Amino acid sequence: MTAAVQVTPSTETEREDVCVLALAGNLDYTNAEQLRAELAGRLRPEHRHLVLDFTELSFLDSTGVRIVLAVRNDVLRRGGVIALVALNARIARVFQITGLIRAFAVYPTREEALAALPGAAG
Amino acid sequence: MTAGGPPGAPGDRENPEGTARQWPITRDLDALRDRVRRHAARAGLDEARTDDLMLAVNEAAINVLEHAGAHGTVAIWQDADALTVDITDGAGRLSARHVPAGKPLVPGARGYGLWLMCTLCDEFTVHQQEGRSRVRLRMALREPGPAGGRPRR
Repeated sequence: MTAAVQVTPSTETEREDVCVLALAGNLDYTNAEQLRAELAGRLRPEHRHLVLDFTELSFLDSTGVRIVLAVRNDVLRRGGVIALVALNARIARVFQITGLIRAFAVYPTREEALAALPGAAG
Repeated sequence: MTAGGPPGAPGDRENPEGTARQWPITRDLDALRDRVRRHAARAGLDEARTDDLMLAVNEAAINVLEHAGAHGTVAIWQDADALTVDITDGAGRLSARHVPAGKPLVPGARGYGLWLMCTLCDEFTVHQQEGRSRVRLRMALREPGPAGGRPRR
């Protein structure tokens, strides 16, 4: 099966209600459930908003889109916002063709995603 | 989209010279995608169409892993007109009537992968015969012309 998608937390923001995670690798049918469990474990009760950085994510299939959608729904239930950062052309195409690009706020950089979150300074 | 297709075992009639490369489908989807990418590059498909074919083959393999008892093969070959990928499973339950008429509501809904394959490839057929089902995905190698061109964005 495909190697697990690596999840790296970032301390880029001092906000306790924001979780920033960078994903690296290929997300597909064989490792999607693993990623979903990993993300669920990373989301602490104090986290309201989630920023997922896709800079190092190379590929995502329909199962991957489904997992990202499920995580989005978890975040929405917390009353939070999910932002996606730096989708490569291949991944952007999957989100566009499925029409699910409309369900997400997408930003070119983490800084822009963080600045757009509710309650961001400045 | 077309459904059905000519009879005949996969990879014989349409590939008379036996030039198709064939592999069993496993959970190593990374390796499968790499193979498709290499063949597409050799055939001269551009990056966007290579990505589309790679995703379509990935979705077809998922269907085999999920619905066909994980027994199946992938065959790839190229002729003057197209790069063709056949995904054949030994369960034989998949037929053209499983292809949804429109886009299913959400990823994971029944037929979503089939809808994606149909959307991503120039030609998509499902053929069911003698205990096997074969999905054929095809990308034309000639420029489809201005009307057929599909810009990525």
